[in-house]
Amino acid sequence: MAPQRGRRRLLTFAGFLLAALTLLAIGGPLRSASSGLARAIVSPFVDVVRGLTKPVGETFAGAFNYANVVAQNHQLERELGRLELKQRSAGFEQIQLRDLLALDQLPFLGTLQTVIAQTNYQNLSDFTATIEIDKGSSSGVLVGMPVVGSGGLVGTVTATTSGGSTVTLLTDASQSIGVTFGSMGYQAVVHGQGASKPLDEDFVAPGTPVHKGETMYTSGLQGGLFPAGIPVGRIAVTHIHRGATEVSISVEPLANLNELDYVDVVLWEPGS
Amino acid sequence: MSPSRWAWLVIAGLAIVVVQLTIADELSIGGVHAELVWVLPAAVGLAAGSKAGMAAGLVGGAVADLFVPTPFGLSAIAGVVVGYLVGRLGEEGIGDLGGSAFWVAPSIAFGAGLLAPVFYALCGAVIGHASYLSATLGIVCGLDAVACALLVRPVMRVLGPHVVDDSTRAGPLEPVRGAL
Repeated sequence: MAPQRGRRRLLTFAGFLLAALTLLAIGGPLRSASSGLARAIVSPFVDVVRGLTKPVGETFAGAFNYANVVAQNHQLERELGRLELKQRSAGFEQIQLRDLLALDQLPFLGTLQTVIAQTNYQNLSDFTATIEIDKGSSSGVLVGMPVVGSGGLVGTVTATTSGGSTVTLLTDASQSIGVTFGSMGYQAVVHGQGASKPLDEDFVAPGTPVHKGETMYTSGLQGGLFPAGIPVGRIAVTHIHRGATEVSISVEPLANLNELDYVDVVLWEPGS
Repeated sequence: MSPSRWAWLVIAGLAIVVVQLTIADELSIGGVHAELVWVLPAAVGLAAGSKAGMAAGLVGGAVADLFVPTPFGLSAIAGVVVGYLVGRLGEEGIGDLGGSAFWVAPSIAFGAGLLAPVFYALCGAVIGHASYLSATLGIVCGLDAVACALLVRPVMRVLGPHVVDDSTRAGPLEPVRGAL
């Protein structure tokens, strides 16, 4: 009796596992068909609960990231001071026009065409870092195209539908970007380490002059995945381990990945 | 499994997503937050056995995967395994949960929360997402384990009466009440 029950239990387990594997196999269409409905069901509850729990979450975030909050506050104070100075020396309309022009035609893009897209949704997972934007293949957006914000490189388009796209952020662990830095144009490759984490860099030989705060730009190499010259990040920390064959460098993305309400998709195909 | 039990699992899966999006996602430590998807199969597995636990893992995982960019169905696979193992532990490993100490269910859930992300990341690596086995996996495991341990008893209390199959139990809801 007992072995029979054990066999039946294992069969049930196999059945459930098979169902889950089937979900994995046919997942794409099933998800696109039902995720909208699921979001529509959940979002009113999310809005209500978020309204109630926001102060608690902010308190928690402040408590665990206090040093960051203080540092960011100081940085913001400095930036605010600079902005106030600028505002006093120029008219409001002038500043507005300049900001719009900066958004419309980012200086580092040169003659490359772009499509401005609005971010619909930011996916938070411990395993991937992506955003959903409202422009897709009908607007000329294709898989592999770079996405930039006013600060620099944001990521790449990794999936498209006719009316929307998924952008994998440069901090995602799957991302590798060929960069160049320094006056001599040193080459390196930076890797994403996960959402909210700095980028990690390798292939920098010991003795290479690396300066904290130095800006890194896409090199146009690494399989030609990005056009050359897009600002990627700023060197935050450098470290050489004893006996190591390369310098360990931590790079902070230049684009503010927490504020991606609007982004520019660069209409540039890899390898072109 | 009756249709009403499946319906309760869907409702519970959606409720967990609401808590995930509103609370768990805000409570990040070192850029990582707890994934609550494993709480459902752990709690249901302990409350109602391995079959219900696997169903909870399948439904909860599928619902959770609708809201994240990772491959659809991956959480369901890990959820089914968690539901099976926890259910088996609850049924046969521990025996009568009703007679065990209050910390037994949270301890089992802690173990489930610790192992589930590893299994998830390994499955992800097998289907071509090697980046899931990142350095932050240890933090993810720790956070998920704590979340499972903290939430398993409340979830068992709320969901237990709705998912326990009375016909397979010696007494009505005894293990569930006792475990709490």
